[in-house]
Amino acid sequence: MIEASGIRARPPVVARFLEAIGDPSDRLLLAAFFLSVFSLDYLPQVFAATGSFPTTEFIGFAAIAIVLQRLGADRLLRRWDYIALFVASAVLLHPWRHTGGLALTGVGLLFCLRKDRRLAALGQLSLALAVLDIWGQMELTAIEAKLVPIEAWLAYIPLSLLDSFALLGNSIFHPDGREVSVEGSCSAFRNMLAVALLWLSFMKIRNLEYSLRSLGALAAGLVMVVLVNTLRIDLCAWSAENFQYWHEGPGVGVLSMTMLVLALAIFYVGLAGADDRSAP
Amino acid sequence: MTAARSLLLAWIVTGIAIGAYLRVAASGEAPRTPPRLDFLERADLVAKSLGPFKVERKDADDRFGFWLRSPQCDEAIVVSGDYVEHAPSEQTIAAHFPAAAWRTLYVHDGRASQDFPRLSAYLRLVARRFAAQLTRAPLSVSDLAFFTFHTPAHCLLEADSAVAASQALLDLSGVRSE
Repeated sequence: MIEASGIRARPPVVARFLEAIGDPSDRLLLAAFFLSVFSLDYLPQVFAATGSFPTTEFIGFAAIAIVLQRLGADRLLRRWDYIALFVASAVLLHPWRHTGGLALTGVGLLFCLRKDRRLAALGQLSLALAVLDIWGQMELTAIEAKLVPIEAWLAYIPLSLLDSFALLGNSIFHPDGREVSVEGSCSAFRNMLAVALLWLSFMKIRNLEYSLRSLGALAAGLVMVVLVNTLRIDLCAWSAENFQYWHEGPGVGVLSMTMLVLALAIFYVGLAGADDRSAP
Repeated sequence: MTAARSLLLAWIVTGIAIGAYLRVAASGEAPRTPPRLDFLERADLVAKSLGPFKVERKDADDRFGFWLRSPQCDEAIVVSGDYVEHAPSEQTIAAHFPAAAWRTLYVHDGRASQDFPRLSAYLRLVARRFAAQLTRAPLSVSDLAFFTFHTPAHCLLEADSAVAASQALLDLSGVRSE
């Protein structure tokens, strides 16, 4: 026979819920904030008629979720952090598509240099997402005039070996006179940012230290993006039919998927032997 | 501090609900298509005045806007319009209008310059777009576009004339040809 008073019953879900919201942990507050950014700014992209599925960004948020799990019940936030989260959440109310990027920028700048590795990881992931969302396009515009001719030149090299193509600035001329101009939107730059976010997500998911090996994996991923994008430009320049397929048709999805799979493979293999941190 | 944390959590959760509601409400608005530079394709402007210039003809392959005539130059001046976000590179422009034979003048935001201020124009566009999003006001063509004037090297194009012609082009935005 068991004495009823001797049994410590597990608190019901409702009681735990009330307890959690009565004195929310830092992890709960941060989780709610990142959930609001995700649900208001990123989730709707899945249902948008235009634009591609934000796979890389979703992996970034998965990394944030895993880092949040490591926070446990620790109290790490300062008074200013609460105010910043309050303001960032207010910014998110506005229906502009990129308010999430602004909110993540603020929170990212606040956390990215913190001594606590978990908060620093959240800050770095936030900044990487914000760069991919807003600031990367500005960076591209700043360097586009110099960068795009280099990418056109890279694409021209193999073509010049195969046929009498010509290069003028960022335009590649087919022997039959057809011209393909490499514009900023054709640049590998955005995909390089996406791959960098993917790498950072891998690093934070596996709780790895930055090392020469991990930086080498990042460099390999970036080189891969440039090579695949160069191949894409070459395919577009080769013939009008190819341009239609690789620039306007299903080829766009094929190359995006190829890039993603290759990046995942490079980071999986490249970071495979790296040691995890012993600290949280 | 416990109360402040609870308040913050309540604010974030409420923010999700309000933000979702505002996004659904915004999605119900009529789509605001950004203004376009389609007035550069209007054939009915040929022989009409554009600021101090007269439109001589449309560009043959619609790559550039108009070929213009002015009293100061014995050859045609080419004007084209482009979006700040997709501005052609200097190399592309030089490929079509080599510096040895042509002078190039850019007009953006009512100012003329010999080099296109790519970054500042883009930052201005971002700021305008941000303000437009906050106020839910539409953007204008002048926020999105800039004009490029290509003049034969031996002709001098006054900045004021280019600015006036650009303004005349901007005034055409939203005016449909019959």
